[in-house]
Amino acid sequence: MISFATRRALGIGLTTLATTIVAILSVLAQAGIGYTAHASGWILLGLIVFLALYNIRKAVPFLPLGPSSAWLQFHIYIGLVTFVVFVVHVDVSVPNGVFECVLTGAYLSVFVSGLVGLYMTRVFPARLTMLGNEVIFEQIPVIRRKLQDQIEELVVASNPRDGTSLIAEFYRSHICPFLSKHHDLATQLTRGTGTHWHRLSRAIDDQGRYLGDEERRIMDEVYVLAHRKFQLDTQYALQGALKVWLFFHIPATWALLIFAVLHSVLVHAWSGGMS
Amino acid sequence: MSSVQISSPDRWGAPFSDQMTDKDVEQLLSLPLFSTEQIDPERFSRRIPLAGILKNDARIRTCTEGEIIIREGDWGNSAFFLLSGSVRIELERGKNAFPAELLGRSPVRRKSFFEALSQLWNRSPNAEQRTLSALSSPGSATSRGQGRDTRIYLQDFSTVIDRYKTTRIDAVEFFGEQSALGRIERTASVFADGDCQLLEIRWQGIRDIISRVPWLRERIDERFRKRGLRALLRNSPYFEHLQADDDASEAQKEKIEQLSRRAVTEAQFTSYGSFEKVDRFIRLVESGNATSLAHEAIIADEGDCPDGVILIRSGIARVSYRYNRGHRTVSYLTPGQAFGVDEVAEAWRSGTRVPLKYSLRAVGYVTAVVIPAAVFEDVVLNAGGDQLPVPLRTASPVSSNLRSSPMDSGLLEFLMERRFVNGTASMVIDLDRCTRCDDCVRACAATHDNNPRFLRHGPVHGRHMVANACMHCADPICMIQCPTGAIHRNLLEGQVVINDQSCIGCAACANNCPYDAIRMVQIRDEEGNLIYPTQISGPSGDNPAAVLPITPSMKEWEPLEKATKCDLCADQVTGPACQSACPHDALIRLDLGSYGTATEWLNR
Repeated sequence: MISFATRRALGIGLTTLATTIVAILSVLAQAGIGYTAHASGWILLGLIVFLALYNIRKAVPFLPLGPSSAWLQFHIYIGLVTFVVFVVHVDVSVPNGVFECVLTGAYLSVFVSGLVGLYMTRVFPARLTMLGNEVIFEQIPVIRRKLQDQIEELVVASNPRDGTSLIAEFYRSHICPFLSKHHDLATQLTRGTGTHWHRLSRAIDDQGRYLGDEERRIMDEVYVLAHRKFQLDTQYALQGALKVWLFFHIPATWALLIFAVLHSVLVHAWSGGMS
Repeated sequence: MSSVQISSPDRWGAPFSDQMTDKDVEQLLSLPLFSTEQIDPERFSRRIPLAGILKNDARIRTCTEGEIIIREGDWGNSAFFLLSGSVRIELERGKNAFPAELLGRSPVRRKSFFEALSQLWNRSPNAEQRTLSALSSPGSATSRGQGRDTRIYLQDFSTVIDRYKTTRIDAVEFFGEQSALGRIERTASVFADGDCQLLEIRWQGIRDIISRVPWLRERIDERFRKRGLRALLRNSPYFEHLQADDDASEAQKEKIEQLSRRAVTEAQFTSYGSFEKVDRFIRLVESGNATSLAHEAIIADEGDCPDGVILIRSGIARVSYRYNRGHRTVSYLTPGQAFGVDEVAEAWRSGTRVPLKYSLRAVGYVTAVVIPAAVFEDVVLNAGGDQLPVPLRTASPVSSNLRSSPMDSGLLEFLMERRFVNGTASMVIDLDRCTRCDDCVRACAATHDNNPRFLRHGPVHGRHMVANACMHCADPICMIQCPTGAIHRNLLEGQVVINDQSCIGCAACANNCPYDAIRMVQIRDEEGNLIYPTQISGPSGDNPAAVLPITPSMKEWEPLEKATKCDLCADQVTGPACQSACPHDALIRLDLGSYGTATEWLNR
């Protein structure tokens, strides 16, 4: 069984080799025939079409088209090669027309979103594992509701008959807003500490000095449940980000494909066909 | 004088059959088979008397012509004494054996490329959709009876039986004991040849009887010695040299035969531990109780000098060593693997007694074959030569050091305690690589008519999750109580699959599975309506009894349910779709029973 390190080394090595060959051929071709845009354009379009086919592969898991993981490896490394081909194709120049700007923007959107996705898919899973309490994304709202119910039961149980419960008051002012929705999604992606949870946990600590023994026990339980809500928020943020980036990457890919095909039609229409 | 209360075994709290009466037991004891000349009642303890075994661990089955008593590939936990009449036992294997359809099974056929492609547009709009016509034709076998008493029959028995090679057995004889005692699959089908009466005894009863009836023990051992032992030895790397090449001389062949005969003749058979009752097994697995080690029978103890080499015949054994106040697991052995070879070989080289470096414990129930040290020395170490595995060929003392186990110690204990090592195709997910994209679940749904067959959820240890998907266990307890044999092992490739047509929805398999891998689902017709038992009829043909039984006691007003689970995409050209759909190499269907394979993947 090939190790990940070996596979990565192989992938990077082959990618480097491919990009070097592309660069050398480009230099040689420019020195020889002087015009390589058609060739590099068609290569780039071919590579982009191949990369887009991965989405088709995912839709037909019942066909013997090879493992998805092998497709992803090709997707990543060929995606990197496209950047070199793209640079060669545009001749390291800045786009100057509206359509060129759109096309370049589409390509860069796909490429950068791919890099962002690659980073997230390599970093976030381990964070989710470390977080513990593995949950299925779609079940998060249900679990959050259950946590809220459990906390409310504790709060109700803490309420003395005269209705003057500090915990109830604290619940209304601090805990209920915390439980009502997912918080700090962006902060959690970047492991920031200025979150609602950290503010709430400090507030719970501060309340401790005013509580009796029984109330403190209840507040400890509330703390544990609220912390689970925080973990749930983190799960929601990380899993959500892992799902959402594809909603950008894939539509951008289709947009790029449409613009790229249109671009090639226009180029050939105005150049009198392939030379 | 106060009476002494003698407690009966726990298993008698739930007798094998509630139909057995004291009169039945009396009648059985009056048969020659159970006469005092054959079986001495004095050998049985007061706590577990013979009459008690017959009352609680046995049941009388009256069969009529064509009834399938045992079906090849089913999992057995009982043996049969033929009391009257006769049965036929299938003799052929492979392509000449009875076709699966005749035995009431649908053979698993892989889809062609275009059939696979058609899944793109042929998906049912409703969850768990079935066609009524398919449900009404359960193959060539027919079922009678209801619930867990359902029985399966060969149709047109007299014609069919002539077409295949069978042998007839007349009363009084016994069969089915090898798979019952070893908890292995049945190796041949058995049919009632006319009316016959059988005494079916569950494995616990058989175990108690043979431990007190020497002639029965000897006959069972002799049967195994004749039929199974040579095959077991042939599959062991230490005995490979006992297979003569075609070009070997007559003298060589004779020598090999002599060595084989010695190993077979002098081998001893032992068994350790016991099958847990299903509910206890489920509790044990679900709790992942670390103290389970205390319940495991010791096969060989660290520090003792070995009497011989232990070959595991069935079950799983844990290899461990003393570690502070506990025992640390370092490996596990599955059928065909050997224990004590290093020590016996080292003793042979040095001429001194060498104590065992590790303990061997039975995880549940284990049967083993012990090759005495002197026999192993003569047959293997002296005669093996270049064909022996490399460590045995070296002149230096064997220095295999399992104590630096290649698998993470905690993970190994986790896999043992929850009995995941029972799985031959467990779904293991590396959570550090899994992006929770659910491509695996979607692929599963796409290949199963929009119905995913597993949950991406399950027990987690560190970064590894064993998901709630059928593990296709080596010892599948889900099969044991299936009354129609609908859940069975695909004999060609080994997957545990459910025949949807013969599943009667009794939920025995789902209740027995400790891994939550089988789900009962309500099924719907093409219009999306729930299907009720009254809508289904079996093949009528000439036999009115062949109609699938629908009686008021079968809860005919409740929607029909079917058991569903992962079938390892047995009919797909891609193999397990979940695994091939994972973009990040995070999910694998892993044979956790194979320590080497599991370690290799877990340590990638």
